[in-house]
Amino acid sequence: MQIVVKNIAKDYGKRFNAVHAIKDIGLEVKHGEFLGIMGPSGAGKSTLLNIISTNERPDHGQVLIDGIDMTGLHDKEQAKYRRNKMGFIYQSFELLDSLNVKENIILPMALNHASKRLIEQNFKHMTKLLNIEGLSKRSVDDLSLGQKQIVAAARALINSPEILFADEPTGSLDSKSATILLNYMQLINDKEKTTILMATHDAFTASYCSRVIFVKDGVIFAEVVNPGDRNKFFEQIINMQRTIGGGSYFNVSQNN
Amino acid sequence: MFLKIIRRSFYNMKDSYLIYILSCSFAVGMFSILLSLVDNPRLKSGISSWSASLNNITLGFSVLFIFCVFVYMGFVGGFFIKQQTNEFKTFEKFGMSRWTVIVIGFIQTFVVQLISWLIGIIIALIFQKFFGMLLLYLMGVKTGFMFRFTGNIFSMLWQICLYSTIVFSIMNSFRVRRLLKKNKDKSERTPRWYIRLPGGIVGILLFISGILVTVILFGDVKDSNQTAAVAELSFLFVAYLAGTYLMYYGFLPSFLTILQHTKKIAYAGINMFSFKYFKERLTKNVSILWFITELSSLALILLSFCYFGYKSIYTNYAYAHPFELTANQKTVDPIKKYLKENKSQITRSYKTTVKTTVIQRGSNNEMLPGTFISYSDYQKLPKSNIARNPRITKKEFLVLDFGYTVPGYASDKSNTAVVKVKNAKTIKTNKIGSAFPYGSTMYQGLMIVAPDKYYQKLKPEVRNTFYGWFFKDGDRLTHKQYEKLNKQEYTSGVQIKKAANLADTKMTTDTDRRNSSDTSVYMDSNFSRQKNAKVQVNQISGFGIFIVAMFSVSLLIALGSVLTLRLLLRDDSEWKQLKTLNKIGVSKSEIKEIVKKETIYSFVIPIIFAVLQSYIVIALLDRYPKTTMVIPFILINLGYIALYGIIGFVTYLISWRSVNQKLS
Ligand SMILES: Nc1ncnc2c1ncn2[C@@H]1O[C@H](COP(=O)(O)OP(=O)(O)O)[C@@H](O)[C@H]1O
Ligand SMILES: [Mg+2]
Repeated sequence: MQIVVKNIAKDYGKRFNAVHAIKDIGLEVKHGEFLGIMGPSGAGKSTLLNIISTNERPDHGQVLIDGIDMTGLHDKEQAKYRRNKMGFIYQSFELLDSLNVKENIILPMALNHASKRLIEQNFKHMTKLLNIEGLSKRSVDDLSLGQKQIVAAARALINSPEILFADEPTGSLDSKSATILLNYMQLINDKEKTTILMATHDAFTASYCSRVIFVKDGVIFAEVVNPGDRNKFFEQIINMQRTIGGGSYFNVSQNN
Repeated sequence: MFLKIIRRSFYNMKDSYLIYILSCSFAVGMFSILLSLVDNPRLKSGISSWSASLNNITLGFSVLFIFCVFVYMGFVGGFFIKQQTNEFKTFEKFGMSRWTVIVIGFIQTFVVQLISWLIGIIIALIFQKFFGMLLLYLMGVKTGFMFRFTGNIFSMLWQICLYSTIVFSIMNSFRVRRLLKKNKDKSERTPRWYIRLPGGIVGILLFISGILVTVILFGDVKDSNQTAAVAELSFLFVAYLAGTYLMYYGFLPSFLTILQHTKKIAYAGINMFSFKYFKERLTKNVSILWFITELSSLALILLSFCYFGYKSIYTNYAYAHPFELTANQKTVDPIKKYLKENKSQITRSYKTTVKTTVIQRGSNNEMLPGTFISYSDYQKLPKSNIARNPRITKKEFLVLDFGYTVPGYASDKSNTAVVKVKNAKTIKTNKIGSAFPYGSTMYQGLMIVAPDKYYQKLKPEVRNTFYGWFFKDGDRLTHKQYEKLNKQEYTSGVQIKKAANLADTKMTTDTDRRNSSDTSVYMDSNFSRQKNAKVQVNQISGFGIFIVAMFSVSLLIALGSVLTLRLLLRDDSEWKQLKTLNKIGVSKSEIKEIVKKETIYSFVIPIIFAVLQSYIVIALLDRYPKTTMVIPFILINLGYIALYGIIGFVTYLISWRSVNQKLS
């Protein structure tokens, strides 16, 4: 197991109007797994990802990655871990306004003091692949939401991270860009054995995963494993969503 | 609702508001104390000789002080409004009327100003006695200080408080209104590099030429070439003001841009972000950095002037009164009598006979009395009285004179005095001093220490003997006694009866004071007493130290808090970026490093340029040899830098604290 989550819980806010974002979640993720996390808005998906990726500390419980207890690590070591092993596509993109598109994308490599040649090479490869070569000199402020998301994805992937955290990575994308991105994620998952944790409320996006867990009100509600056929998996996911109820929350995508 | 919004804005910016309120209250407190000292009776009775002018001086300083405080308040008050741009805009979007938002801005300012004034006045009430006592102590006045705050002062303070608070609140309301009207125009905020780069280059050239002109100024001030010096000073004024601004505006951002385009540096680690971040922060703060640089250099220049001013008063005093009590042949008898009557305890007494004749110096052949003293008599005088003069051997002449800047005095070689003496050999020497062994008021004109042989041969027009005493527990002369010594019967002096040449010029003793307006009459002091002068020197310098210290501390606090506030008040996008960095794996200690560097740059850059500019002061103060000025000047600078550095360090701590809080 690469990632082991043991009974974590997280509350937000003060005692009397506290929000139990995560009540009690335990989870194991294998190396090279492509895990989907589904659930309605406010279910705690982002919080779960943030805790596993050490961006937030849980109130209770432990997160082990490669056998190391991340919750016990010092701030500095956590940051080092994030920088070296993890890639992030955040729901709110988290791009830096001061930097232009190119600088945003190559920032993780620069932080790791990669060589100039390697940086340029990876950058070219990444932008070509995601079809954003034209954007490189643009300011982040001027981009559309979809463009921002694809730039955020390029930044997450340029470093070939061992673990990729993707929070609604296709939420703002058109179907073509979404398909390109998801295919690429599947590719690196296959070829480079990148472990991927992806939160989504979209059944089509989730159908790329090898396993999907359903979160509701801060607990894991159900789990569906990919039988090897994406269409069939897609059906299963939709069915599960119906069973959970509150289907109105879900935005069932029809493009496949 | 209203109150809630205002309360929240106070809470969000509590660190910054605290700093602002504290520095304002400090300033208000100082002002109130100064104002209340104006008509304090103890201050009047303690200082009899110049109490009338003291009142006016204190009043003048308090007006100057409050003016500076108002500039500060008006300027810095705007930071808080600007900081809330987004919030105000959102309020309007949510359907609040523009008026309501403006009123919110008004109330915020009003409350902050009122609190600052209240705290300030309380500070004044508490510390008035302390500062009053400090002032009297510095001035060497023995009477105790009495707490006094008249209703008059109170109502005056209250009125100033009310009016200024209303004015500043209205000012900020206008700021809010302008904010709401303006749509963001990005291109206006960040001019392109092709404007910045030439601007920066011009700035650097101006600044460097300023430094070069300062060097030229040294020479011109020394040769007392006034027109050139004035022209150079005006050039310096423009060059430094414009040069520094352009440098901040153009050169530093361009420099960062170049660094950022040098891939080798920019692609290494966090630099990619920090260069751009510094540049953004810098371009936003150009005018503040500029403001601080110029004010700091002004402060350094003023401090140096004050120090050397104080020093020159003190040296004058030391030159005038090397003995505790000095007499000449006319006053020696009565003084000895008085001393006996008073049972004064003499510890050391000295006596020297001198010869006075006519001498001529300078290219205008000015005729003056010259008082000669023999080398061996000179050596018998107390070391402390002559230590400031250059050392001489028994064959050398020593000329004691304040007039060493007289044109043509120094002959072909600089620093060589040429003095023609009636019926004797012309003296040529490079030993020139200004510590008159019996005090500069006891004889007019030059004093010349001559080799014994020369002295014996000299035929004087007038002879005199000087007496000097040191005492244990003072001379004990009563007021009545030294009033008597000033009487006509003890007065003496000389008159020069000019002729075409030196040999025919005559000198006579002249005791008629009615002639003293005649330029050929030189009146001597009957006696000289250290104690009288000491009291006044102490009072003036004590008052000076008090005012200078108060102004410089206030200035330092003002400048420091402006910078601190500028660093603290990051806008939303700046906060978000620091957070984002942390999310993608930049550790807190690296972010701390960014905050640290930012603080260092913002504090170090202005002080460097300020120090470079303040170097003018050495050129301007011509009284002293340049070499003796360097060390005090450096010490003043170091002191200023040290205090300023402490503020910088505290800023860094506060700044990091607020970043750290937002990160977790
Ligand atoms: N920083 C925060 N402060 C307070 N409440 C939060 C914070 N982050 C998330 N929450 C709350 O926790 C719950 C779970 O949020 P989140 O994990 O973002 O849900 P999801 O990503 O599944 O939509 C929500 O009710 C949200 O309001
Ligand atoms: Mg979410």
